[in-house]
Amino acid sequence: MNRRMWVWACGLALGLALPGLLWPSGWRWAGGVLGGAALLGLSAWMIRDLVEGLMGRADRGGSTGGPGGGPGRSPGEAAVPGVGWLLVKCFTRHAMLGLAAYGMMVRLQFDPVALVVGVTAPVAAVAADAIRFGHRGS
Amino acid sequence: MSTRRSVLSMMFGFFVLGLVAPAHAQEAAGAVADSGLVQWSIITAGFALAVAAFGAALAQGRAVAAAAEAIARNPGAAGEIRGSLILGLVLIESLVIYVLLVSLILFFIKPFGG
Repeated sequence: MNRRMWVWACGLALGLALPGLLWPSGWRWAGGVLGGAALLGLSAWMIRDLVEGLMGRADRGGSTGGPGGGPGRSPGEAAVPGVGWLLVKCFTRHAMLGLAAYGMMVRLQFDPVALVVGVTAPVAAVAADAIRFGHRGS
Repeated sequence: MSTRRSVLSMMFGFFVLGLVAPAHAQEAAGAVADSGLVQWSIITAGFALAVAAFGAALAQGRAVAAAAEAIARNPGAAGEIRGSLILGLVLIESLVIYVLLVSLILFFIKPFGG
């Protein structure tokens, strides 16, 4: 996801959350929408880190040992995280998401439907961007 | 052959675990309500999560395989392929999160009572 899509997704989530603040117990709706968007954002962030980390390691020949990169890294290059941390993030991703969703739904009492709507916000942003790109291309 | 057998036995084990887990969950909640709808909603939530995880794993595996092949064929386009790959993986992941949320709603919020 590029920067424009992130901006679209945040704007859409905020736009869907703000009406919830208009009525007394609407904070549950607003929190749910923002929480749902945060869930998908967290997932996207972990996937991006995983893909870029693994591809970065492959670009460097896969010889890097731990955090900070390997022998072929020039001073200007970004540090590549250790493969262990990447795999931990990969395999515990759903557990973290489930725990976060449980906390929002049960402990914080956010509206469950708003959580689903919040997850939809980034997807809708991507769809809107794809439609815009399609119109520009044709 | 033995690998195939071990994979099949592992899948069977997971299937049995999937059948047992909702029953245990039901034992804990069952003291309060033993409505058939609650029971079936919990079983359905477990199976929905299993099906979603299976489908998403399959789709993500295919996406990664296709991207790796494309990058191997045309290393110059690695940046664009990487962006598309991340986007595709996130969209696939969003479907799993939908099912996860619906399952959590069925498990903890219990819209059908219990």
